[in-house]
Amino acid sequence: MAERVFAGKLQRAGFADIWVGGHRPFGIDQAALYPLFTSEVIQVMRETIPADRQDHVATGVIVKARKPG
Amino acid sequence: VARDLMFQREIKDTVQRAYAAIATGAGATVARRHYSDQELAEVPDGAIGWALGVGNPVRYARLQPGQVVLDVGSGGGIDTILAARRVGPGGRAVGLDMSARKSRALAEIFRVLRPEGRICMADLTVEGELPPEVANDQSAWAG
Repeated sequence: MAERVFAGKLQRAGFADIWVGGHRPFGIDQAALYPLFTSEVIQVMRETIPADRQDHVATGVIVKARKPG
Repeated sequence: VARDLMFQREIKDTVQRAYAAIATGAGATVARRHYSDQELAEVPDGAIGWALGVGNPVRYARLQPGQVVLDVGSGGGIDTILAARRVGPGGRAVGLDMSARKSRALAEIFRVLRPEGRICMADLTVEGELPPEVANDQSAWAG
């Protein structure tokens, strides 16, 4: 899910003061640390994702928002 | 609609099977990526071993003593325990593990929050499309 889509979902849920920060690249090597990803899907990622994108497939973010009073 | 619901059920089943297959302690490497040695010293090994999150929301939440925290998607509880330490004995931290569509989870979080309550969450965003071989791979859904 893209960052703006994520923020939009928060806004539609009723949240205000939405802040997205703490951006951190998440690449295939990081995905491989997670036991939720099988070695097979990690291999598929290495074979199908362009080389220049393999170290930044996704972005880890921190999202903060407030429920209006 | 029925097809969409069946697909959602398939995703949920796949995710549950993926989590059930994880070996105890498998999250320790992930924990060392997101938490400092000092933070890891504050939680039991069991919580470290099940740390499968994608960030360290407690570090950003600016928790104060006496506050009440609901950790949604708590997993092994590493953030619940860290939050409990930040809010202290006069506060409260409750862990709730759940699996739901994001928009539904956000609506429920909004419902249970007090007015002026805050949400702080760690997640992954993806700009652009993943190759279909990855996006359609069931084992990628859980990750």
